[in-house]
Amino acid sequence: MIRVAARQRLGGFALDVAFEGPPDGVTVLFGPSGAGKSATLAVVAGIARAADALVVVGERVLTDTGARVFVLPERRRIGVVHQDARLFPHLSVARNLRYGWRRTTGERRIGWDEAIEVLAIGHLLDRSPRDLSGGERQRVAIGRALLSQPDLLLLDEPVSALDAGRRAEVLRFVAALKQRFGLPMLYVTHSEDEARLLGDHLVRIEDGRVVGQGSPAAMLPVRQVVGEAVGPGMVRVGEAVIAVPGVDAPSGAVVRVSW
Amino acid sequence: MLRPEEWEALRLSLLIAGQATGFGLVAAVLFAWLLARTRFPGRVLLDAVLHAPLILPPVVVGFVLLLVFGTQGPIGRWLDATWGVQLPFTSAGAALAAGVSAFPLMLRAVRLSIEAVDLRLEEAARSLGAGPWDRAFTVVLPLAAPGLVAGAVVGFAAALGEFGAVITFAANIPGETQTLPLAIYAALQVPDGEGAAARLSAISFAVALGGLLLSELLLRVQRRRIGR
Repeated sequence: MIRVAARQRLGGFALDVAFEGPPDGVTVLFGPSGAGKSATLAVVAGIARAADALVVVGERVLTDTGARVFVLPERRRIGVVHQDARLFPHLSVARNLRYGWRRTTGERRIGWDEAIEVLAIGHLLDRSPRDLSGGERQRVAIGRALLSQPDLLLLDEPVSALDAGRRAEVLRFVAALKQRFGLPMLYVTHSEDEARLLGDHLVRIEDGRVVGQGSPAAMLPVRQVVGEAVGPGMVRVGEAVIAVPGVDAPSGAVVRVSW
Repeated sequence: MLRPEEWEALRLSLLIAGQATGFGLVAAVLFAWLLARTRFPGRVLLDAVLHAPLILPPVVVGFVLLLVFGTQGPIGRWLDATWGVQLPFTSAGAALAAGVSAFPLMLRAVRLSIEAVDLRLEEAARSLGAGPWDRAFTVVLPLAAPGLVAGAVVGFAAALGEFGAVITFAANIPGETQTLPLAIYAALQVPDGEGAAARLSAISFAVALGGLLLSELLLRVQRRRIGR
């Protein structure tokens, strides 16, 4: 179980959110830009200190302003992935991955080989981050966070800096991650597609407040489009290619997708 | 080609400039960190004081060092009483004078490079479990390395060429504090010394050029390592 509550004034903006998420699924923080989603993540990660906040991950209380509890970000065991991968430019991919791995204490639940296999980054280990494509960079960033053995993974718009093709690719890996490791994740996005594809629980945030929460299917409007299948799980709708898991129509076939 | 006392001046110069750069760079990293990453009252004043050797006449720097580190100065007396160390008129004193004079240049280069390190990378290291010292040694300093190299090079060059502060604080003693510029000055004070002065000047030029080439090489290696 993840419990988060934060109240904070940032200039003219007031953040006042409270929500809970499932212990081993993806909680999507959904809302327009500037709604306070990233500010909420910063409170969870401990990067921002809210005047009034509660952050509980599983059994661990990380922030409780009432009880004067504040665990430093480096001791939170929370992995963070941003839209810019923030890989260390002076280290190889392997050494980036090892950065968090080496600093863990105790038992490692997520294996080195397993994580590398799920993210398909084995062939990149000797490369320098600057020689990676955008999608590869994000996968390495996710791997680096994962290998630090986090109790919770925060993903702050991890694919919004990528083009449509790369986006589908990285989303596939995030979905695989969810299947394989059963790790709770907080996923920030303003994309309905991503929210539907990955979310188990959706928290809608607008103007710094939670305006509703529930299952993604219940929280997002039903839509239907007609498109053209372009590959397994990929449908072209107009100019855009979207990921639709389960589509296996031959390329070129006209498909109707409703959700 | 060179006379023994000229070799001695070269050896002393490299030793003194090396010590001045080594200790100066460590101090520069500490103070640059303080100035770049922390906020405290008196920060602007500290910044000004640290830069003073850059704008003061070198003779004044040497004189202030005499007041502070001289046998009657507060720190000088303590050093003498506690450790039996005397700085004026010694090569260690010459290194101190050269290092203090060169310090602002090193501080500037190091500070700029520390400020240029992306704070978001440090944040990433933090979320991966790295504490403050860990982050400093594994993220910030490696990424600031080109600035540290640049600081060391300008610092070494400035220390090598320092005249006023060194001669004021450590005097012009052959074999002890007589560095290349001091030896050139001394050569010019005697009749027919132009030949010696020219040779010493040529050595100074060669050392400076060598240092510059070495630093360029180092910088290239560093840049490739951090991917710029």
